[in-house]
Amino acid sequence: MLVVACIKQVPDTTQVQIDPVTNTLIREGIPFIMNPYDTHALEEALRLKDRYGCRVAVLSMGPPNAEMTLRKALSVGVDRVILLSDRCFGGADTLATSNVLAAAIHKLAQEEEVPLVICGKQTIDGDTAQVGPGIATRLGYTQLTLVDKIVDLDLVAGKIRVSRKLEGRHEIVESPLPSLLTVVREMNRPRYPTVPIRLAAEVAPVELWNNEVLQLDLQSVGLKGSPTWVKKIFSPERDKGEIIGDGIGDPAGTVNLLVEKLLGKDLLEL
Amino acid sequence: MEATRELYWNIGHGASILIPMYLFTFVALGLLIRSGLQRLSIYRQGKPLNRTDRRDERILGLIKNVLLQSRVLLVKGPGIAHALFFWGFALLFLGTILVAAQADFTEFLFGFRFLYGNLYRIFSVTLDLAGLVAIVMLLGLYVRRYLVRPEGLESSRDDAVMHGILFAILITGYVIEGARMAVTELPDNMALAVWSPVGLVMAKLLAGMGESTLRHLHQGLWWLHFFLVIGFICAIPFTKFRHIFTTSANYFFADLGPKGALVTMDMEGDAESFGAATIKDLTWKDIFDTDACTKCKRCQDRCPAHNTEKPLSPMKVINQLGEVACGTPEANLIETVGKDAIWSCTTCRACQEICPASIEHVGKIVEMRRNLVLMEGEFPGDEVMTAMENAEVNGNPLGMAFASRGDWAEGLPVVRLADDADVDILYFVGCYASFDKRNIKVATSFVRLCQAAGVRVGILGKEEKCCGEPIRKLGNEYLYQSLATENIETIKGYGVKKVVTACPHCFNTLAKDYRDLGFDLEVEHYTVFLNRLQQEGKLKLKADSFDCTYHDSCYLGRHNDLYQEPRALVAAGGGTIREMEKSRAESFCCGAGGGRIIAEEKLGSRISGSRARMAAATGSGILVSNCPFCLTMFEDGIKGADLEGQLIPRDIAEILVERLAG
Repeated sequence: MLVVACIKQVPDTTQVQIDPVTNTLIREGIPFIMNPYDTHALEEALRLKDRYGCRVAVLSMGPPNAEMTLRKALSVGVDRVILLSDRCFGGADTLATSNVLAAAIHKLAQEEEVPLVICGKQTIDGDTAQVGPGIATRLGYTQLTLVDKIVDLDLVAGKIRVSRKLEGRHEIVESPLPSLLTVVREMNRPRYPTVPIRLAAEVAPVELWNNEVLQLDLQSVGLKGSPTWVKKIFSPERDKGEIIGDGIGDPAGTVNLLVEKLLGKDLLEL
Repeated sequence: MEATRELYWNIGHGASILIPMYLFTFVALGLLIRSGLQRLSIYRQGKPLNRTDRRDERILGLIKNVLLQSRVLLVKGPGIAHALFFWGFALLFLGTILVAAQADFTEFLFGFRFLYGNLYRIFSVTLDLAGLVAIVMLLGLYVRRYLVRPEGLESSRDDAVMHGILFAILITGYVIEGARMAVTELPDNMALAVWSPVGLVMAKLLAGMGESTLRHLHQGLWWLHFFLVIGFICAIPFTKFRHIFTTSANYFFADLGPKGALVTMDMEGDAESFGAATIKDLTWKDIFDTDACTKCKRCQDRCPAHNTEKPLSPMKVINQLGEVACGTPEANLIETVGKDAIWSCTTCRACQEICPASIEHVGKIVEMRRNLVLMEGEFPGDEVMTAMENAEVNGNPLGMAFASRGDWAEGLPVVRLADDADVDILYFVGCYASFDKRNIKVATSFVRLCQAAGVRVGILGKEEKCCGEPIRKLGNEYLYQSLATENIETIKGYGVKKVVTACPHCFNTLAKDYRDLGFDLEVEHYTVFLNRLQQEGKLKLKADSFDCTYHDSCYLGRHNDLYQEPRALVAAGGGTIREMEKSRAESFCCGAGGGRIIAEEKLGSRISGSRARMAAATGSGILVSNCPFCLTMFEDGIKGADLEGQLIPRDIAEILVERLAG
């Protein structure tokens, strides 16, 4: 039995600045990291491995340098990592990306049962939250998004019950397996790699699957398979903050000032 | 009449006496040696470690600390009592050997005597007074232990047995002497009797008894005294008496430095396990240490964690490890000691600096941390794990963008080595001075001082990474080595000659820890560097008098014995230091060492608050320190202890930059 976690290597967007002239991300000096939501997906897969003894495979579609991030997955103890990389996969939008990932999972499922696929709810560079659901749709798996907890998993009966974290409420959902989960940060605290596994990871193989392996129609992958494209990226203008009044010396007066200010900007109604 | 006494008076010196006496003595010594050898197998459970190099130094340390009781005397009260008792008892032991040597050997075999005349008089009065000193000191220690009962001093069966045997040996000794003198000297040899003043008093007390009673009393007590000594010898391996041998040996096996250096682990070998989870993961010396401990609690008294209600006592850790080594060698050390205790240590070294037995506490705690981190991926809290992840990605535990590491120096007279490597010093800035607003002021001050002294300063900027100190002290040797290796390669690549840091943690790490990884440049803390510039007249300061108190950071003070230079700089700036009660080697940690700077302090009260209150008690208004961690902790501690307005924390560099002449 194999649990698949999908991850993406992203620039640490907390540090990213946008070049005002070209409207593109300034990548210089920005470290690549594993998409933070995906670290929770990976951790959940590892917890299932610890608990049920299933195997864990990690998939990532990306350029060859994404191997670095896949090695991080190896260093926490996954059994198999596969980089889906091919020139023809480049420039993919979420549709084309999910085509590739779904094809890879489908291929894995021919060797070994894949009852669960786990993804982060979204990436911090694209923020679409579409790839997980896209994969589920293409594979015909039930899709359970925004999961913050697996309440119950019955691999024998093929049932899963999860808690979904929605705005202001939680929803408990039950579904037959196989399923695809997209997970939120509250799901778990990703583990820290131990040294013995880290050392083993340094020499463990990262498998490379290109389109010769996946044999996808070139019209369904990469730029050609992508109906959406980014027209412009920009940082919205933001007013500078200011300190008003004297909150410690005159709290009441300061509140009045604040209320007036908000009223003046039509942000408050009396 | 010749000034001497008949040895074995009233006892006899025939085979019927000597044979059983020596038989018992040799059996007792045999038991002692056998138990000692059996104990070797306990130490052998540990890993090998070479502690027999630099023999001359080791023998010197052994002599100094045993004969002169140097480490014992680091604490006055009980230290003086122990030393005087030791000297007294040792003289009595030596006297007994002399008696046996003459009576049973030199006179017996060759008819050669030496205990007569003036030598006997000196022998007599010395031993007589030595016994008195020993009894008085033992009484003092008894009163302290059982009546005063200092907090934390735990008394066990061992202590009762030890006090009992020693008292009995000393007192029977005097009664035997008194009974003998009452018969042989009191009636007609007062001229000699005065050379045994305590014996004389005893003799006068006993004089009322008839001679035959005295002779019976003497003989009975002589044998009792003898068997008490036999009992004492036999008790050595089974009670704290063993410290006579183990603690002495520990002076020989002591860590000869560099102070506070940890073992650099081989991360690439074929080790299957890292750090210490069982007793076999520690070295034989770690186990030997546990046998050298006398539970004097000096370490516990000074431990900042223990003093702020955290579940750590360095003494208990040593004792627990000892119990495992002797009784339950399969036990898990971390479960035995407790994770909270293990994580509470600030590696401030107060325990090791004061330990009268030269025990090394900190390394053992770090070894257990290493096991938790490297084998289990465990940390004291999620915030620490996040800091580790940050350091891995961005080269600093604060989670700041690595590319902005040099931004603080914008507009300052500093070059990045990548642009210009022709500099006098490489200023290794460290994470806090690079990113923390409060500490950027210190970095800026240091650069201005260098500029005034005509020193060209270079920094690595975004090429610099965390030195790895907090990470290493928290047990993450893997990440430490990876950061250290990168820094070393970067620095070496620029061919600089000298590195100066404003952080004692960076300083200690670069100057000592990096040596094991192939770094050999001269490294100085800025207080030493600036003090030299000031003395050479290159750094001109105008004194502007102020009152302050000064905090010795653990890593400049205890770890590097740098107490004078920073004080000299404060004085050069016109500062008058009102010392805190705990200063210099006895300084009380700010709470940030041992990687605690990146961990939340969830247990007990705030260490920084305790230290802030000590500083405030001097009434000086300014708390001067030399370390970014200390400064950060004091900013918080002062607020937490409601001392805002009473105490301002400042770094030496900030004070000096305001006093630049011209």
